[in-house]
Amino acid sequence: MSDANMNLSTDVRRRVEQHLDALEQTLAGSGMSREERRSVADDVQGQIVEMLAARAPNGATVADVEAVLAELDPPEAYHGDAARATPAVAAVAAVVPARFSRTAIVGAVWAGLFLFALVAFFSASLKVVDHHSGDQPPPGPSVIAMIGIAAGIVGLAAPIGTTACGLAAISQIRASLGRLCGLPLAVCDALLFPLLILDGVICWGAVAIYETYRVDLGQQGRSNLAIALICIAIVLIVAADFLIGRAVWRAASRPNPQGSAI
Amino acid sequence: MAALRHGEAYGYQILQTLGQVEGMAITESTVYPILARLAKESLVKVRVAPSPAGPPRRYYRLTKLGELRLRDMAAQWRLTHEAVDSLLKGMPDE
Repeated sequence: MSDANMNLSTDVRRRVEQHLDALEQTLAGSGMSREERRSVADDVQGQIVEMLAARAPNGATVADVEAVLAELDPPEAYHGDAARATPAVAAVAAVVPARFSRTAIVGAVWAGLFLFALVAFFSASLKVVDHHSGDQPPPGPSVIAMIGIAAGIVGLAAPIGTTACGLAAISQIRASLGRLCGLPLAVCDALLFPLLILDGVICWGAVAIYETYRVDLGQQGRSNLAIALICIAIVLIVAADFLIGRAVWRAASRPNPQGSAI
Repeated sequence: MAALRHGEAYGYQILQTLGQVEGMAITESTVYPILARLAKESLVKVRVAPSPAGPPRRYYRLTKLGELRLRDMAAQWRLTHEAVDSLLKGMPDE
């Protein structure tokens, strides 16, 4: 905010600054960026000064400032502008076409790269086996191979990257109040790898139980134990994935009273 | 954004323009944050110029992207308007 051009007395200026400070605090509390806060504060300051100039052309007093501020929205009104929008403004906001969350798309693509990395890894393993068993020389590095390695490295970071993108996308979509869509994809991004890890742990537990008890069992007993453990693991995986997925979906799709909108 | 389609204007000026439109009772706590967000999304461009009244004014002008978005929004709004009108057809005025 610049006071350089304000031809106001110290008391008047102090009262205006008090109002603007309170406004900035409210805006900061609503999660608005510093640049946006500055923009809003500058517009409000400009309006105050113009209203003062119109009201008291020969010099404003503190009483004039109080009168002008009384005509303005209080700082608290800036907390969640969409919530206080008039029906007309809310209607306009409702018809703004929602944009699909780019963060959610990046997360999904990243997860796809993980699949690519796995395929590339197994493909490379098979080639190494072929090389050891055959007599052909190993192929030299090619552009495609280098791109594959780079994509593979990025893909291996997908468990962290996709989950982070999913969580960020959920947060952005909730804060956008309808301007961004793609919540199902964002939730899938956020849950994919954590649930895969959980499923892996359940499978590992089933295998560990089987390995512990199979030595004491005959052929038929081992088969029965394997079938029972597979069934239990599948039921556990389905139940855990469903319950966690539903809980996260409900939490993510709950209305956000603190969100901002256009 | 529609208030800016004829040219640039500063915040208070936009507020006054909107205030003259019947049914568009809209205050600065709604308009200024929206202007800030439009600027952040590159839908409007900001030009700071000296003001005779006090601190420099921030003039807002639609960018090409903003004009496209406004066109999309206007088309959507007309569709919604027609749809609601067709639903209300034959309904007596209160």
